[in-house]
Formats: sequence, C-alpha cells, structure tokens
Amino acid sequence: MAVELNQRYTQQKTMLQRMIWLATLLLVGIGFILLIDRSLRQRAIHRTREQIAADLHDELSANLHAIGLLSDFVRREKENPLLLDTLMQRMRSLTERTAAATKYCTNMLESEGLYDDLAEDMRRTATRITTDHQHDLSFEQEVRLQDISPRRRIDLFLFYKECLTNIIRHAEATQITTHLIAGETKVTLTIADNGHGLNGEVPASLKRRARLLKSTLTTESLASGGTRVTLQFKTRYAHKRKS
Amino acid sequence: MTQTIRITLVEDNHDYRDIITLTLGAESDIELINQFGTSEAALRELKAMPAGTTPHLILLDLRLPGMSGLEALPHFREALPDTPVIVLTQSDNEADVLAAISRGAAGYLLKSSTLEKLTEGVRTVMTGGAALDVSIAGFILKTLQKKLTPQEINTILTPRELEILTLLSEGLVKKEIALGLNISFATVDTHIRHIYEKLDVQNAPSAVRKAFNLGLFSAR
Repeated sequence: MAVELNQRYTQQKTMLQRMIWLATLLLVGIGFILLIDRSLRQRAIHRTREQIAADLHDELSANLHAIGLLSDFVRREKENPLLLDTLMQRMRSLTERTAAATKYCTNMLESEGLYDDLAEDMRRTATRITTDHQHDLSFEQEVRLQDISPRRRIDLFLFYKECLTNIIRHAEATQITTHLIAGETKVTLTIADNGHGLNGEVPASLKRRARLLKSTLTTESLASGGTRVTLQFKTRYAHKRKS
Repeated sequence: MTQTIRITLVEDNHDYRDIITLTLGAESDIELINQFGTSEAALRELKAMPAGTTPHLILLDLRLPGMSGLEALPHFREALPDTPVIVLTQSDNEADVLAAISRGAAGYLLKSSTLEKLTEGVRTVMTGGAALDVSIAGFILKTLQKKLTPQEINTILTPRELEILTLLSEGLVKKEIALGLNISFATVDTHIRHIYEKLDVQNAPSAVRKAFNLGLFSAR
C-alpha cells in the first residue's frame, strides 16, 4: 500500500514538474510572440514615419526649388517693375508656405507618436494625392481625433490614404468628398467619388485595414455614378473632453 | 526653331507647378499645354487627345502619388512614342537615374536646375539631343564604364580630349579646365570644338551622353 502510494506520489510529482515546464515554456512562448508583435509594429511605424518624412522632404525641396526658379525669373524680368512687384509677392507667399511646411515637418519629427494632428495630416495628404481632383474634405468634432488611440489613428490615416490612392489609380473620378465624424462613441469616415464605381470586390488592402480597426466597412454604388465607402468603428477617447 | 514646343507637365507639388507654368509661359517658343498631378490622369488624358494636339515633350516628376514616374515612363513612351520625356526630379539617386534612362527618358534634370538650364534642356531634347544635369552626367561616366578598349577609345578621342570631356561632365567650365590643366583658354576651346565635331554633337550634355553611350569613359 505504502509502495503504491509512493509510486503515485512520484508519478504526480513528475507530472507536476512536466506541467510546470510546459507552463513555463508556454509563458516564454507568449512573451516571445508579444515581443515579435511589438517589434513588427514598431518596424511598421518606423516605415510609416520614413514615408511621411520622405513626403515632407519632397514638399519642402520642391518649394525651395520653386523659389529658386522664381528668383531666376525675377532676375530676368528686372526691367519690368510692374511684373517684378507681383513676382516678389509670389516669392513672399511661397516662402511663408515653405516656412509653415518646415514647422509642420519639425513638429512631426519631434512628436513621439504618428498623426498626432490627424485632421491636418489628412488635409495635407489629400492635397498632395488629389491635386487633379475637386476634393471637399470636412470634419465634425475634429478636436476629438487626437484622443483616439495612437494605433487606431495610424490605421485610420492609412485606410484613408489607401482609399484616395485607389480612387486616383482606378476610379477615373473628378470629384471626391471626404467626411469624418468623431462622434460620442463612434468614428465614421465616408469617402465618395464620382468615378466609374468599384469593379467587383473591395480591394483586399482596404479590408485588411478595416479589420485592424475592428470596424465595419460598407461600399455602395451611387445612383449618380461613383462609389461611397463608409468605415465605422466604436471608440473610447483617451481623455473625455468637454465639447 | 520656329515651332512652339508644346509641353505637358506631370508634377504633384502645387507651388512648383505654378512656378513652372509662370516661367515656361514667359518663353516665346515654349507652351505648357496641360499639367497633371498624377501619372494616371496624365496618361488617361494624353491617350484621349486627338492626333496633332498631343504634346511635343513631357516633363515628368518621379515621386508621384499612385503610379510613380519610373513606373509610368514606359507607359508614356508606349502611348506617345514620338514624344520625348524629360525626368524633372529632385532625386539624384543613382538607381533612379539608371532606371529612368533605361526606360527611355530623353533627359534627366534636377529640380535644382536654373531656369536657363531647364529651358536649354527642353530645347536640346527637341533638337535631338539629350538633357542631363551635369552632376548626373558625371555620375554616369564614373559608374558605367565599359565597352571599348583604350586603343578603340584613342581612335575616337585623344587622351587630352577625353580628359577635357571628363572635366566638362563634372561641371567645370572652359576657364576652370584651362586653369586645372595649365593650358590656355583658346586651347581648351579648340579641344572642345574637336570633341563636338568628332562626336557630331552641339553641346556638352550631348557630348557626355554620346561618349557614355559609346563607352568612351571606360578606360579612365
């Protein structure tokens, strides 16, 4: 009897040790996966930051080169005082816009997160991407956007950028309307265009971004032609603001 | 040239577009007929234009939203085979330069070019030449050295002429070359005239481009 009890005790002890090892391995595995996930996310953020920096660098350099061309032109037209005045005014306003772009660039590089000023980032990107389009971009409760979690802000921005890129690549639209509502409990982004509509499936990249946002994504063909994409997700803002 | 050069600009930066429109618009022999912020829109419109109304030349930026300039270059060449494309970019990245040239760009100018260089580049390409920014030309000759043996090169250009052409491609003017080689300005001028005659070109960018295509820099 005592021998059998000893045997059972030994077996249970062995089992327990195995379980402890298994649990340890499991914990180490989970930790490892979390680390990899974190590293991948950080790498993705780094890539996004690099992309933003490249866009801003492009904008700043193009502005500076435009000022350079303008000064060449001014030198050539120096005998024409009427034109000279207009040219100098243009150079002045171009310099001011470049200074504003520089400030924006510095703020972006100094900020810890990405798209801290989501509305301004969306405006700038829309201006650059839809330069050939008539684009109406509006916000409701814009101030709440900065209280959306950083991860979701990034995904929301990338979703928007992807949508605009798809429109200019495939839709052959001339008009685009974007409306973003930061409601009490949910965020709704609507993008409509007057292009030739979606041919079949919603692009996989948009679906993936919508999944990351844990959002609902709906698309509809408009009677007047074109497509409307609506993205909606529930959110709790980081700080409740008094509106 | 009596015919007005009709140009299409593909550039996404508003301010740069405006200034190009203003400055090229003041040239008596150049007309900017249209401008686009994306390659997609430009290709769509250009393909729909009736024959005879299409541009004589396209100025194409590389960093564009949607399809990049490099991606779009073969499409422009296919849509308008007789219309040369000059890449007008701020990228002096070697890979971009090589890719643009291999995809059929007739010129590669940096946005930092002066107005004079830009208009000269446009006119050079329209007369069958090539427009290359001097820094780009220098890079090309330094990195892509191949093809001819030193003996073959010497039958085309003398070592002195090759030396002067190399300095030209690095952006030096005649006076600087004369000082650098410790010879007179007139001698440099004569050498350059001989180089142009031998290569059958009209100006320095065309000479560099032709020398590069012939592999004349390979022995240096």
